[in-house]
Amino acid sequence: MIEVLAGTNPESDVADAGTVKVSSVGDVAGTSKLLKVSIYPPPHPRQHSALITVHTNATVMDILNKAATLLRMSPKSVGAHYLSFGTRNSHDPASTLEEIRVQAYGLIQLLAQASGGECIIYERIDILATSLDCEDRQTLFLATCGSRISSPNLADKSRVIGEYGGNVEPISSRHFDITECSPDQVDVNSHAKKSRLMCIQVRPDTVIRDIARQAALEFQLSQDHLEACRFCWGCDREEALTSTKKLHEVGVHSHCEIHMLMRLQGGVASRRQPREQVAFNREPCHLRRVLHLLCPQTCECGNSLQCMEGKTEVIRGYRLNASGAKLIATRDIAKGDVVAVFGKTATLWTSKHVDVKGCA
Amino acid sequence: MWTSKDVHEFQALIDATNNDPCAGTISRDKFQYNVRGDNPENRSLTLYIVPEKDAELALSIKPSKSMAKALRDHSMQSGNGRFAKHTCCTLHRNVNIEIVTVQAAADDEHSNPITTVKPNVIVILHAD
Repeated sequence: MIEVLAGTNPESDVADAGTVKVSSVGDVAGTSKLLKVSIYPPPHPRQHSALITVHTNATVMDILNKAATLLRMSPKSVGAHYLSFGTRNSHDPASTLEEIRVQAYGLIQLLAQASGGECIIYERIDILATSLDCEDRQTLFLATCGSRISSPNLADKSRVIGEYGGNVEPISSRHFDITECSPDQVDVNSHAKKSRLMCIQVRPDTVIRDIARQAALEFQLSQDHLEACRFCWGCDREEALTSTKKLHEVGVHSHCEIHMLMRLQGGVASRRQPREQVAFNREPCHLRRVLHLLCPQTCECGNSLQCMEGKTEVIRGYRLNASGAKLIATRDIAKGDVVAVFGKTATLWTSKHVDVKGCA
Repeated sequence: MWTSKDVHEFQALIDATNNDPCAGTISRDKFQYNVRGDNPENRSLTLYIVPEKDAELALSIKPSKSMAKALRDHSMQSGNGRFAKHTCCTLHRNVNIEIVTVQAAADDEHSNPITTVKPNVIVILHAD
């Protein structure tokens, strides 16, 4: 599902992850305004957000097509989606944003049917629908969260950890760990989707600008975005990302692991995604079938050995064949599913130019 | 990697055993079959997948050292695909033999891969 959150008031410049945010950046020719649209894909695909610029006279179909292109969806698939705006104004594909009165703060939703036929609708979150700008919300959130990243709990957080290559390393007081939030607080954070977290390891002599570049790469931020971001060391100490200061110059003296909280201009954020597992595990099942790869044991599709159990049975006797045994199916098996595997086989490798007669 | 000499030795072993008039009796078994195909990851290599029973039979005939070594290095994957009945009739055929690659990786507590992916080649039967 994609939500499109539209607003022409820069002060109400807020959006959720999974939304398309429209914010005004100026008038064009006195008739239409230029809107920046941040498009965020549904949570499951491996796609990154993208920023496009449209006019207020952009049509619904224009935005749909742009979203389809950016999210790599087919136009046919886009046709199966529908738009709904927070204003509940009726519209058709030719309607412009101005016609459906997406001039102030509004909500546009693109609902995509999931592969399993389930349609997920994300509700608009009240905490973000306020007039507070990003900085205020972030401060408010940090103050009320009560987690380790909140201001009241920042003091005396030093601890010693071991078993990192046999060395015992002090973790600085600016070690922020979102996982130590209580379940409710984690839920608030992830639900609000306004803080994007990342975890990198740096040394005290690392220049902040270098860290920013690394963060920009990971978040795929443009230079414009980057200049609008700041590093927050617990809200009591901030540095622009373009700062040439080193970490120890801003009070970080030990080699430590820092979860840095980035404040994005639009308040766009989400919890840090787990690092990618082996690419093999991320490939769709049908692609693995084409590549003659089996799905991992954790996959529940018919292309894994795990799901092979119980499909077949060996019966003996009955004068079936010379070996006296035969493999039979015990239930219906879908086409393409793994039926059985040859056990304890020996594999002999040879080059292709060896010409031998098959003995099957 | 087998040489052409090994391949021909294996082929001769199969021919000699299966053409032996005494084979198939109580004292001698016949080779059932082996699967020949391309390596899924490297088309320049041809694979011979020898079922467990056939490998045991070949080992009992005392092949050369290199062949014996290859035949003893069998997959740990258990299965009973060898019991599937062969047919040359496409009308009644409902499974296909296919050589696939099995990959395995272990993850740490953060779901990050920590071990080297180790491919293993096996033969499976796909529903047709």
